[in-house]
Amino acid sequence: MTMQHPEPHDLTALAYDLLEGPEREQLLTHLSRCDTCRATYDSFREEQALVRDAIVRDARSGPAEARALERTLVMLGAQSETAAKPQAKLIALPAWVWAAQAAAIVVVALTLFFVFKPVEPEFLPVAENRRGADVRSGTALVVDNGVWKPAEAVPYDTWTKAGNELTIELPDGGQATLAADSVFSIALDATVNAPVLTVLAGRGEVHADAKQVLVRTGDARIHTLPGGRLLITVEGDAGDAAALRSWSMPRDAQTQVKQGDALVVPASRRYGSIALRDGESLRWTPQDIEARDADGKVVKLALAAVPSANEDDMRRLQVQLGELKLRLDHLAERHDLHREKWFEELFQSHNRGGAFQVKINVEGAGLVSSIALALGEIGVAAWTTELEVGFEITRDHSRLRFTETTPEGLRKMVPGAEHELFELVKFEREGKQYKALKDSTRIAEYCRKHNLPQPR
Amino acid sequence: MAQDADKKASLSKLAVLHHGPLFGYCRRRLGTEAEAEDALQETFMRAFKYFDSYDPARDARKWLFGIAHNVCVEIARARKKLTISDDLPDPSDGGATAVALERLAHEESLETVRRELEELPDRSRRILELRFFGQLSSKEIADLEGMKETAVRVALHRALEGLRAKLAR
Repeated sequence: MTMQHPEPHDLTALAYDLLEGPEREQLLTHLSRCDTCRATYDSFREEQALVRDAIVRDARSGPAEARALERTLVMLGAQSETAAKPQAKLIALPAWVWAAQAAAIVVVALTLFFVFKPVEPEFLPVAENRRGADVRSGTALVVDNGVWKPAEAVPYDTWTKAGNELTIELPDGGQATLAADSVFSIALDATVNAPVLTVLAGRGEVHADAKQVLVRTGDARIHTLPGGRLLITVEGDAGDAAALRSWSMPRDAQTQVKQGDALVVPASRRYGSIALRDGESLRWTPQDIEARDADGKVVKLALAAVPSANEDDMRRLQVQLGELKLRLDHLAERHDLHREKWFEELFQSHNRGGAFQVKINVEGAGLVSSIALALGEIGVAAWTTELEVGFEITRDHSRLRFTETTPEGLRKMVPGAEHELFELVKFEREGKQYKALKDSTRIAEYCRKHNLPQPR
Repeated sequence: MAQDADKKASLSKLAVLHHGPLFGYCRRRLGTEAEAEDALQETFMRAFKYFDSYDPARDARKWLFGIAHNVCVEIARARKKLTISDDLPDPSDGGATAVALERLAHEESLETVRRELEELPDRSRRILELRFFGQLSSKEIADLEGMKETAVRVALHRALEGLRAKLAR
């Protein structure tokens, strides 16, 4: 039967995230079965990232956005008091009227300034609805007319510098202590709709109390789980206040979990979620991201995920996240956690981004054994590494692939309809590892039952 | 009907949350930071005015982008100029020394894309901008543009074909 391929403009729309609901799901399902469309889609996704960068990057400007927000908030403040009055139509006024008004305001302001000589405030005020974080101790500096000046709080979505050792209360609970000269911001992370502490340069320590704390260093988002403690060291260009941009990226960011657990979700398409436990660390550079254990060895199991339509890969990613969830069960006993909600949100955020193609990073996890079987039109493969066991079925140009840490877990992942094939393979334990073997008796029975020649 | 103080509080929160993408969209549409500032303020002025017609069950971001889109169209009409700015800041400004050599290839591709985007029909550019800043779907963009949903997709696809040919070289 000939496969119906989607229209090219629908693939474009999918790659540009313009589709929603069942139509999107149907297309993703098609992509999981059609290599041709998948390749086209992947190239469109690459292009989309470039187009997005070209459009969005240059249009954003921190100072201008802050100015526009300030004006809007002032307008809204005035609006509530003058709502009953008819509103002047802003855009209908010619430019010279605005210029004349602005000039008049400047003249009045200058006059008032020279008459009353206002006293320079010790701290720049930060309006209540613009506070990103309160200062517990130390001095928070923000850029005012190109110069770092003390502020009474950390303003929302504004690069802030620690004048000395600075301790702040984080918006969702918990606190962060940043070394002098560290540069950071508190803003909303649109992906998970939660406040995020972004560290652009310097050193710091983050404590999460009853809720998770979201930290961004480099290109990675780190969910510090309740009760967790995170050490951060970031090398970045933060010396020139005027050069700070919303897209500024540090040269090198290192994070170490000193207590509890954390989950790292890199923004880059090349990488996926990495679970970090006590003592484990993460290093990010613009070229690479690397997780290490407490002894400095590369963390064995890292997930590399790129947007993909492969449902099996997506399922596997969710299994990995599920494992992390199990590992953290003990935390639930000590804290009244928002854990369930957090994982729910995390799963949803992964789902929103489409499915993920997951690759197991086998660095430090060498292949122990592998077998392959050709059973007519069906191919079966099984393998073991130092860390995992895997099973794969190839049929009609499609592939089902599963990996797990134990054969029992692997069996649960394989759909019931495929158990007949799964039983053709044995996994025998050898010390801490497993070895994949063919079950000759069952293979012979299978071939007799399906009228297939006995494999050699 | 919401009290003015409640409206103000809600809209102030929305402004804090969404001003960045809204500003970026207006900036792309209108060409200058000053006009984008005006447009952002006008967007929230209208949001205040029509707040009672806003359904809280709807996504506030989409609602605000709908208003901002109309504001930009009106400003452009009134001023008889709808331009994509030529004076966008140099992306390497202030950070050139920090840009790693590995990023240069990416920057070159970006430059190609920027040039090609300038050549796109205005409507196609608007579709991309509404997508990237407003995160709107093809249906929502179609509603704003007064087009059929399929027409949005086809227009975008055709517009991008030229870009794809250039990138493939």
